[in-house]
Amino acid sequence: MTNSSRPREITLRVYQVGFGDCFLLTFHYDAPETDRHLLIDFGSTEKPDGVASRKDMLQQVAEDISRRCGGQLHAVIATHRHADHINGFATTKDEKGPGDIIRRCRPDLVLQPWTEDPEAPENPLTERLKTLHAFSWNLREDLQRLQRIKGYSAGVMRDLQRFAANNAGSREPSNLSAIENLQTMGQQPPAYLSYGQAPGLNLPGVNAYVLGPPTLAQWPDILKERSSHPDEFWQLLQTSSPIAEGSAPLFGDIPATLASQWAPQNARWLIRRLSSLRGEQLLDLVRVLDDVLNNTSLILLFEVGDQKLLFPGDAQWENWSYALHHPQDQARNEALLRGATLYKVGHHGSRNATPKSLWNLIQSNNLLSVLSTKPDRHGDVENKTEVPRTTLVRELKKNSQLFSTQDMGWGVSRDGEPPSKAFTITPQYPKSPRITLKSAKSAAPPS
Amino acid sequence: MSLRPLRRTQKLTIIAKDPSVRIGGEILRARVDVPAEELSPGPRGYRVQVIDYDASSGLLYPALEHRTLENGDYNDPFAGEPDETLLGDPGFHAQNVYAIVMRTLARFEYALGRRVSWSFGGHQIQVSPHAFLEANAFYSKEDRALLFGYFPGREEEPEDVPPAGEEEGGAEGLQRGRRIKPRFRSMIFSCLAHDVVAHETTHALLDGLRPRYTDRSSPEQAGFHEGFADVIALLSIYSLEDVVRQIIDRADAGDGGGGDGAGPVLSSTVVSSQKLTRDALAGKSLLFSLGEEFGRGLADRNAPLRRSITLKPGADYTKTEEFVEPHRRGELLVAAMMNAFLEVWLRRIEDLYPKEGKEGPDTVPPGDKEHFLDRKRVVEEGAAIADQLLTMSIRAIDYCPPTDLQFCDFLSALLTADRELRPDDSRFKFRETLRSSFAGYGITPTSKGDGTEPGVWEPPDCSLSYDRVHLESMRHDRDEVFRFLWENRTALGLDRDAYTRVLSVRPAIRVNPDDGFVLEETVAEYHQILNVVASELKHLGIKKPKDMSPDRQVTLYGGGALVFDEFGRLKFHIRNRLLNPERQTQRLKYLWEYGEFEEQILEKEARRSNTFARMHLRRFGPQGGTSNDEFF
Repeated sequence: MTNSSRPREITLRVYQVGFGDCFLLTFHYDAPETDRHLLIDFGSTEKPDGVASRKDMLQQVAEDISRRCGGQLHAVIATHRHADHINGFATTKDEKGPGDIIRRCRPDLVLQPWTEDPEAPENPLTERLKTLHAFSWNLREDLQRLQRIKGYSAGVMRDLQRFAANNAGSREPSNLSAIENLQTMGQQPPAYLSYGQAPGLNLPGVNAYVLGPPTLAQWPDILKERSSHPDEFWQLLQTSSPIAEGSAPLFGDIPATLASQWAPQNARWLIRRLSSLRGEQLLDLVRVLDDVLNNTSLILLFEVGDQKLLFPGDAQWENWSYALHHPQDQARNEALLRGATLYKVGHHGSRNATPKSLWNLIQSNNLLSVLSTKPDRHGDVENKTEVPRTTLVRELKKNSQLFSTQDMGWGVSRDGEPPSKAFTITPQYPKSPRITLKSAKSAAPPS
Repeated sequence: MSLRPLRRTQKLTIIAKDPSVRIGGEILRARVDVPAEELSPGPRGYRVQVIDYDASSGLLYPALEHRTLENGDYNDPFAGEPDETLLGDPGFHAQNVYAIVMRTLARFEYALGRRVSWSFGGHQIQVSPHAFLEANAFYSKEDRALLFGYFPGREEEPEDVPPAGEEEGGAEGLQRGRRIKPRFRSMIFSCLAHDVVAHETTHALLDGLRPRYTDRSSPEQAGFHEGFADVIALLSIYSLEDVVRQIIDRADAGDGGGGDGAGPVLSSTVVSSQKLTRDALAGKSLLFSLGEEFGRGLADRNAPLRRSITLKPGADYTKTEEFVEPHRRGELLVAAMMNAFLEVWLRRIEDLYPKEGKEGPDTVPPGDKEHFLDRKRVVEEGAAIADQLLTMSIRAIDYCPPTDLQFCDFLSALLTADRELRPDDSRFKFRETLRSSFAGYGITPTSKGDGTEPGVWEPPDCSLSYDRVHLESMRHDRDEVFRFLWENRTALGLDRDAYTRVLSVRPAIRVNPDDGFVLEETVAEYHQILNVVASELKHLGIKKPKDMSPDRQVTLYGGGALVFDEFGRLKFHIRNRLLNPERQTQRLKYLWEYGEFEEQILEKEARRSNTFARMHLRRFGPQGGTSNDEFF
């Protein structure tokens, strides 16, 4: 094998995007081969502390990506449709949006999960995703009116707002432009992948595996329901709305009182309790929805020499369990995962996205765990739902080398570069167990 | 001031099943008896308070006022009002839930011969008939409330409409910025469905009688709450003669209810025996379904929420993954009970056949296949059988173990409760029918029987000391019953290291309808809790779940119901022993495999929101089928 037929080095650049994901993965080759740049997710729903505008931040990150890849991306990978992974691909009418900049990098190929294929035949999962987006979009609109009703706690309202914004899919205009952009920006026809397919990348010397998501035919459990009434939840969802249509009284001529203005004393306790309960009910619904979309994430593994780089998006247990329990492939998958050298921590460090049966395969002192997250934005410690999950972070620190974007500040350098951190990895051929972290450069000092 | 005694009951109009069940095109109603009282606006009474607050719109609807008539009777303001008023007046909705909740409560009190408390400790449950816009209804212990949702029944595909302020056609792309607006037929109100209201009320009452049944234990215990609530709801409805008449009329007209919903009006006073077959009565009748309008209103469903009676006996459903889900598991209980109801009813109908013999007014020629029966009598028999089974079902709760209930325990409790009151089963053969009907679903009584009758609980087989306790105190004092337990801990097989607590001591007074004699009992329940670490399990003979860490804290539960006779002697000790290795191994395995193990999380979850509201969501939970140790 000649040197040019395999990567000499790999660079992973982790961008500080607040709550979201954005990674530029570069495989460096000796001439005559040219470097290949892969952009893995680009989105943010919470700007980093100290940033004036999320929109401007995405713009700066897009420009930095364009500069670093020399205006030429080999592939764009959008792991799933959540806004915190794709809203950076949004375009604007004046073609100056972050998505326009990425589009001008003319990626050869765009990889997405099978659930994103607009030509896919109708199936229960994609139908449910449509319901999800519609519910979230309606919820967003209704939340503004809901604030008038007393009793919904600030925390519940905050979480509802975030979940709704993240799940609106194509109903959210900026997401829609991102989705359309992803469908059309590739020079080759887009690839909509499922477990076991070849991703079609042109990366000499690199084996790339798709470990998820399974199709419905492969793994009906991805729908997550143990119930014998699999449609019941979705029917519940279709009838549920945070607010009655137009706040109109249900009974034409019969006068109703707005309880926030006045209520009899005997009713006040129940009014307060019921409003609070309703907020939590809605939150329960959207949490389930959030998980469903997470489980459509592409799980990609790149094998280069002695290096194994794992990018699972936000996949949770139901997605992972197919690869980990596959009747024929389980042993192969375990062998592939064992000895991983880089792990993009799933779902910003939430409790459910790094199952122990996966972690037991990949944990080692040679493993670099990369976590893109922002604390105090989702869940709470009391219910073990905080993101990132404290006990997971402790484990990542203990049994791997952890890098988290929450340790990065924000401040654009003199060169106009947004903060990012680059890891250079040198694969060893044919075998060498050591991982070399040659440089760890922060482009800008913390503000 | 009048010396006329106050009325004990009052009649109120309710919707007999739900607004979709009609007769001659009009909604089938019933006037039911509920305990009489001077109601405050709401209506708000001594046990039920209706507060019509809608958390989805923040609106409060006006409280309904009932007034006393000049002759001392109570007003039934909606008697004879047109259907439009019943559907369109929130006051009627308030009355409907008030009356059904009160009737269900009164039914429990009648069966048990004592006052029955709500589980939250207070005296008055709050009921919100239009609590939120959602196809959902539930009992919330923490909010001391029964909450009923409403939703638009859909008939067409949703249409896209522009959001407020956006001009038609102004949006780019197919879906951009558009709000989905359903085209709806009419609102469906869960507060107008008798079965839904009775079902949720039963949750509140059962939780008061047996608070540990909401503990995570087994699919069967979770399923029991659901199944029992369905059984009580359905039997409450069939004990209304108006409803039973509809079953007969529909069977007679060959109308399963799937047509225009108008329902037949039959004027004949007789009904052909050939129309009163099992298939005719149950095969198509929408009346044997639960949540008829509710289920049909949901998009893509067009079917009632549950039709347990269609589960055919003979299959071992409990072994299938499908029947691990609580509602589904509960359906086995419902199917067994409702098939027993049908069986007894059909047998009683056969008893009404005229005798074969020489031609005469009361005889028919031999070989006649078709008999014409008195329609009224057939209806009365059906309603009476439903009523009797309803009473038995409620009484059985006193004879159930207070923790880790299995359907086979409930069956033994049913048989015992009935046998104690009516030793002679020859007339209706309820017990014989229940045994065979439950057996059809793989459920056989826990107890082998006491030698005189199969399946009933056995009397305690031990010598007990009563010398240091007082009879009178034993009828109401938890500390006195605890003293009895402690004195007899060895004989009763209690674990002496566990935390033991007497949860309740209650009188039970029942009247035998056959001879009028009173059966007096005292029912006490206790439970035991033992905390161990997983590594200690093997010393107790309990198998540790695979992959459970040895230093994990494990809590074991056990307990029993003590039934004392009128002389204070223990008649039955119905228990689940704390250190029953087989049962505890099964329980831990189930909780571990279904990710329901971490008590701390569960307790917090229970505090934060209520069990019944989350029943829908839990089965879609993010860790379905995984143990809790899968996550950090």
